[in-house]
Amino acid sequence: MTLTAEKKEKAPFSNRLKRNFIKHRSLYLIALPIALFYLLFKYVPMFGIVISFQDYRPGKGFWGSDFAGLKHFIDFLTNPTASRTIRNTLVINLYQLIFGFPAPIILALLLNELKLPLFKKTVQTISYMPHFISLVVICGMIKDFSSTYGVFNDVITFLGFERDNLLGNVDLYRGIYVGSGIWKGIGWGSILYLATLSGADPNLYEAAVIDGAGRWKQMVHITLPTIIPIAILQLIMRIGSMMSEGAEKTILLYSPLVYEKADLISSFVYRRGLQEMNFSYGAAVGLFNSVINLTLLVAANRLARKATGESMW
Amino acid sequence: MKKRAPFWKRALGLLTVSALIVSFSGCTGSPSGTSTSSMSTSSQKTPESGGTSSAFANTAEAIGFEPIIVPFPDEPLASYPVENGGTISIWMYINSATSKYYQNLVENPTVKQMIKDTGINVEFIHPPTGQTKENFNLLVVSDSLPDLLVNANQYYAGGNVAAVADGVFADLTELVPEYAPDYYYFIEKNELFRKLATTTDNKIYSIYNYKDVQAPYFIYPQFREDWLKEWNMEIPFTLDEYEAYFEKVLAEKPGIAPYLPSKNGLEGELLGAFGIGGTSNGVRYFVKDGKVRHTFNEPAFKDYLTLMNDWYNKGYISKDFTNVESIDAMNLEFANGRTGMVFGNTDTIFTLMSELDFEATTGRYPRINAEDPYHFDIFYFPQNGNPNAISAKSKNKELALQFLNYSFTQQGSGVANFGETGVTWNMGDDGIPVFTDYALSGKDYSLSDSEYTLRLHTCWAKYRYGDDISMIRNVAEPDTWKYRARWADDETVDGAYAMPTLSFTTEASAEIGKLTTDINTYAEEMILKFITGAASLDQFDEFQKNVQSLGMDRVLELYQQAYEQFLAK
Repeated sequence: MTLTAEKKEKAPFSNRLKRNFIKHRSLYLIALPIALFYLLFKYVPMFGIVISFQDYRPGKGFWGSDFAGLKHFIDFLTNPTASRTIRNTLVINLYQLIFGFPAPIILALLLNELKLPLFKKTVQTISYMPHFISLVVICGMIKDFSSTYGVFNDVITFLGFERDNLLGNVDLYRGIYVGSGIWKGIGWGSILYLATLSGADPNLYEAAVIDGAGRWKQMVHITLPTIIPIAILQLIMRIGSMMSEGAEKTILLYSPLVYEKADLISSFVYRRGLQEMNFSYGAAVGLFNSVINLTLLVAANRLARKATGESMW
Repeated sequence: MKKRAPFWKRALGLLTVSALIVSFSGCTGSPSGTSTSSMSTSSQKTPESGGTSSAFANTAEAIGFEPIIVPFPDEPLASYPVENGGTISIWMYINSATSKYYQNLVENPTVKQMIKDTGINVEFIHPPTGQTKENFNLLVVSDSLPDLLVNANQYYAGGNVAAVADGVFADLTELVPEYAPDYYYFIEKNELFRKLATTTDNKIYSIYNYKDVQAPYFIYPQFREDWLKEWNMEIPFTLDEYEAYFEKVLAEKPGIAPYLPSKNGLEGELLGAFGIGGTSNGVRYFVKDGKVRHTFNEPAFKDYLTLMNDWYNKGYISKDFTNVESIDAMNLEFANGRTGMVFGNTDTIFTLMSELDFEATTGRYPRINAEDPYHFDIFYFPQNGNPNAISAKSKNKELALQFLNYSFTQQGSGVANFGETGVTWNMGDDGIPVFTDYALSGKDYSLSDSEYTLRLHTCWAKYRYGDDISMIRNVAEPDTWKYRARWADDETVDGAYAMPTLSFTTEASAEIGKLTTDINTYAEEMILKFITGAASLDQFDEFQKNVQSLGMDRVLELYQQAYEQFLAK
């Protein structure tokens, strides 16, 4: 008997789709509002990008405003103040990546080693309390502590240095900005990693102990590899937002004294927008940021896949 | 930690402060090249004596017009109530003090009286607090603007000129003479008002406050009276005397900064002493010898920065001054005894004096030498800001104009300034309204709350009486006014360099906006660096060259054009 060369033909796609719909209809129904939400609030508004190519005026609307081509993009890129803000945004993001990204991981690893449950829970709770405090309140605290007669300066004087307006010091500003961000986010960020760690297989640990591995070796060979996949995903997502550091914290903390290192793209556009109410300019800068972010995201994902086999897609 | 006054004291203080701050929000002009249009030196109480002060005369001479006081016509030119009534919708900001008592201003007695007198019904649309700009833009974009828009010009890019060009605001030139004849009366009779209330080609796009009376400005240097008495010192006047005071504060009161300047380092009154100043609200343009100038562009700016740097190095200036957010915060720092001198709000400080138990006194505007004149007082411009516009798509343009017009008649302006007829005020024999005893008693509401409940302090455009007779607080407690007006008769002070509110075309506004953002970002940074010593003053010439290359000359050119068109109108 000859082998039939024909494979059993698959039913046409539309039929398969229909059957799939009917079979899993409740799933699709549940997913429908979410899909609609994204469609309505994330995709449809994308048409608004058109204003970044116009001189949009609210009175004239989308169709009536004059066409401006790449004017706003060129304006942004050639403005000397603007290029400084691009540099600042990237540098601050880099600092946050280098110092701020590992911090929750390290905290999670340390917490994982704790044996006393009460102590562990207390430390955990305290560590993620700052996350719940409003950013405005925290910035108010930072400003108060960093003032010339504030708490930080008292410590500095104790260590033998001179008092200084810390937030006005160009060299210290980034440290305060990134440091306070780490303090605020470390606890909350560690939750994700702790959750992953709690899923680690205890048999592996027992086997490692039998093989004679100490605590350090256990961590390096078992705990870390458990976390790595999640960490890579988080890293990729972080890289995908390199260009969009939010304006609120900057505006609350900075002053013209430290513009050189503190002014970000978002705070610059905020000032520009406030002065001129120039929606087109803001939209153009936003579009520029998104394109860069997308490129970075795709590149990071590729790199991760090649280097570690983990990736988002 | 600082000691805290009891809760009710703090609450009262805060309320008064916000009430007073808001009350002066009505003093700001339109965004395109403003100078505030509040008053100058003499604090007479009657309208007739407005044109006699030297400040008035000097600026008047510079601008080239006759000072004039316009009395009301014998009979109002429009008749009320109107024949065909109706309803208009009004978009108006409601401040926190008012919203404590009224969710919607239609319940306020002033409004009820207006509705009764004019025969026109109103409905208010109040933007949520803190979202005024967003709310306005939303209404513009969704094409659902109410009929009357109070003080919204600042939220539309390019002001009312652009708004009319884009078809958002209505051009009122044809309608005003017929439907707002009492307002038009002032435009015809007062030439300076006409120039300030119309655009370059004499079109009417907004209805503005009209004010015939001068009032002293409310920012003066504030010193600690108790410390001056302790050290047997006179109130400082020249800059040398300021330094002597600072030295004393440093020596006798350790840990307290002698002087807290405003957070961007540009103290308007000090700049005025050097002849290049603006006022505390940041105006930096002034007119000298017929030319529009800018503080940053002046050679004397270097002397100012040298002085501030010197004071900073000597420790006179608080090291944290860049962190103090606003003038309210500055007033509080002074009131709490953490600094020896601020250029502060007289009304606020006076209130805080009784709350927080300290003694303060105001000083005259500073000079380098005792015989120097000071030319940067706020000038009296009859156009007192608060532009009201009418939506282009409104079906009730005529009604809205008729409604506004009532506040420019003698009876109507009494209502708009003083409240419910017969209850809060009565017309005096000389034609000037007077508060009743009930209004001044503070029985139902505290005196500061009364400004927003018994009368409507911030409202639509009206003929505005002076603060000294139309504010309940000032009439009931004249000491507040005396504190503010103490140096108002200073003959060496005038507003000779003040710049009137100018009107720009849409393109000019856009260009100016773009250039000034960049100039301000650069300059603000460099100024603070010069003051704190982070940049050496040798780089000052380079600084000015950079400012010019960023477009300062072009900005001044556009301003000069607008100024000359203003004069020629």
